[in-house]
Amino acid sequence: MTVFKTFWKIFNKNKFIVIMYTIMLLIFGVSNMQTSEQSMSFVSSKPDVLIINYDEEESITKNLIKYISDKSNIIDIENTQEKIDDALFYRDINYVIYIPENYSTNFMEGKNPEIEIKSTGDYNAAFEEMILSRYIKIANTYQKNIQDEKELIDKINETLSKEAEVEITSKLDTDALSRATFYYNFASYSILACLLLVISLILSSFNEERIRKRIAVSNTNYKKHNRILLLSNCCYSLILWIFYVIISFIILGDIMITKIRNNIYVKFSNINNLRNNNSFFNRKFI
Amino acid sequence: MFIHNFKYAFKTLFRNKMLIFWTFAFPIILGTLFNMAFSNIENSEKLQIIDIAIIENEDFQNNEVFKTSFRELSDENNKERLFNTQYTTEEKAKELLDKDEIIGYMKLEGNKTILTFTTNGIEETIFKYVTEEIEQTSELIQNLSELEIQKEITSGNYSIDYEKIYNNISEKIKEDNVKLKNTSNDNLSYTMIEFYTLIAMTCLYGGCLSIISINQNLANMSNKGKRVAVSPTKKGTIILSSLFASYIVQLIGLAMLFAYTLLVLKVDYGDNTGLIILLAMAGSLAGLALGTFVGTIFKINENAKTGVLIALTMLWCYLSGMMGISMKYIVDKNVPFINQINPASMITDGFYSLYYYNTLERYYTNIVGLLIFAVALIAISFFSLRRQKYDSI
Repeated sequence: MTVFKTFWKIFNKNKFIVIMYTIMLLIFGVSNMQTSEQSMSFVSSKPDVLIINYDEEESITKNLIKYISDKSNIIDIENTQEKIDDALFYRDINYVIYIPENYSTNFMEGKNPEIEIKSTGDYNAAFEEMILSRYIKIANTYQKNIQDEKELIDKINETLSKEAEVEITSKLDTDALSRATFYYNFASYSILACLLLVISLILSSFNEERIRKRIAVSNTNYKKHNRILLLSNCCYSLILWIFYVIISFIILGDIMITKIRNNIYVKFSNINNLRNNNSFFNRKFI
Repeated sequence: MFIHNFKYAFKTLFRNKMLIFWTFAFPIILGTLFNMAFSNIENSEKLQIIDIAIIENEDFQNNEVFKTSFRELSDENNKERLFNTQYTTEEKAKELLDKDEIIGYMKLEGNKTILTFTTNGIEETIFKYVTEEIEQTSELIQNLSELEIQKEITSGNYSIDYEKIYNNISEKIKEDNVKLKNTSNDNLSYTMIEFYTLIAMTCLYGGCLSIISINQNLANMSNKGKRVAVSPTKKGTIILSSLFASYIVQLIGLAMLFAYTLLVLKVDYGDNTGLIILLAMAGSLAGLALGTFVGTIFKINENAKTGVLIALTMLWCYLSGMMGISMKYIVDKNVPFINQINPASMITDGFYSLYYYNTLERYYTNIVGLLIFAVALIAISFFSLRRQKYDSI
């Protein structure tokens, strides 16, 4: 008991480490609590795009830019080759569209002008390419049949405005889950730091030369001494873990309770399904 | 005397196990961990085949455009395959969605297309967009057919072959008339930055070697320094040979790291080997200069000097993207001055420019920056060291 008590006395002297890391966790955890309202309507992902337009912004060019702008996030970056390439490399933008000079005129003349692009090659870039290709394809097809510019643009817009209906049957509150994930991600740092720092400080206090000698000449068996130290460390680790879980319940509240309830529900449903499917349970005992 | 001291300084540094661990083994361990952590990140960001389901009801069976389009987009032999489609009932589709085996399902109700998802996301958006694209294509065919029919009627031709018009338009639409020219660079792997910062860290950690070398020659830092101070030899020669020994040890460590990252971790440094070596040497010189500077200017014990060096190195590596690749870009974009005087960023940027850019302008700017940094710190250390004498110590 003496060793156990001493362990906690030394811990008491070093408790500021746990307090410091907990405060940091609370600051970061709470600052991440600003929530957005859980929406049941579908929000399309928008790739980050840079449009460099060398043509005059009118007629078909203007309409193309408007369509791309509606479907993507337009990012404003200084128009130098180096800045654009850097932005692409660091994924500040997913796609760059260079609209060439006289694009509008050449397009209306049926020349199908080439558009230069730069892409990161990821999901968002692939999606942006779909958006751009879709527009060009529809515009080109209509252009062969409609010569009037205004009528052409109206037809393109009319066709592209057709949208599918989307229903969200959200079983997951992803926003809430991401907050819980953030908390536990950061809590793992705090727990590790508190364990490593406090345990090493306490053990090094027991390992000081004079203390070590005193322990060596005491009548306590060294195996028992080490066992109690190990037990104290385990106790400390467990208490620390419970402490952080309690904090998560305090600051995340409903999310944690819902999550646990869902998990219990899923477990019971699985057991139920298993029982229903298992011939043993379905067997009629005579 | 130069060679004599160089030999012993070299041996002393190599026998310092702690130092060798931090400058030789630690970067290799860290590189291995980086490789384990980041090797699959970029692959997961590439467009993969999306698992979806389609409710196989009467409306879908009767809709030829949807049936053909999804069959083509899910065809295993199609190079541009986008979906892995399961044709099923609504109950089964809901079950698949609940089990996360699909990202969503589509149901046709007359002319209405209903998509069901559990959440928002890029895969869901692509599925929605493709569905809309099929609907739009349908409308396009219809509109163009109407135009063609109108043209025929206007030209006085009343015996119209509707099927022929429809087929002609469908064929026209299938033609790939989108002309896009992709001019992006092939080298777009941003995780390379992590390995470049690792090289930068190793270069600057090499400063630990020069701190030890300097301390061995300072009378207020070690017994050997006291003996050197009273010996009838030129202090400059002793210090220079010690620093040269630490530089060589540093380069050996760096060469091992390069070999490991190149041959085992397959890190891409670009094709210009000569310029890669030049950058590594300039980076190491900056590390050596930093160590010499910290060793001479700070009048603190050896551990504290090492602490200062590690703290500076970590801060600079953080700003150059070691703990988050985008950090370098954020600093470059908002406060470029910081990274213009940050040696870790100059080294990282040098490798980045060799990997990503075809021109060498940016690379040479970084080399010059590193040399200026090294020369400035060595000059300050030199003026601080010269004519140091002790009446008693």
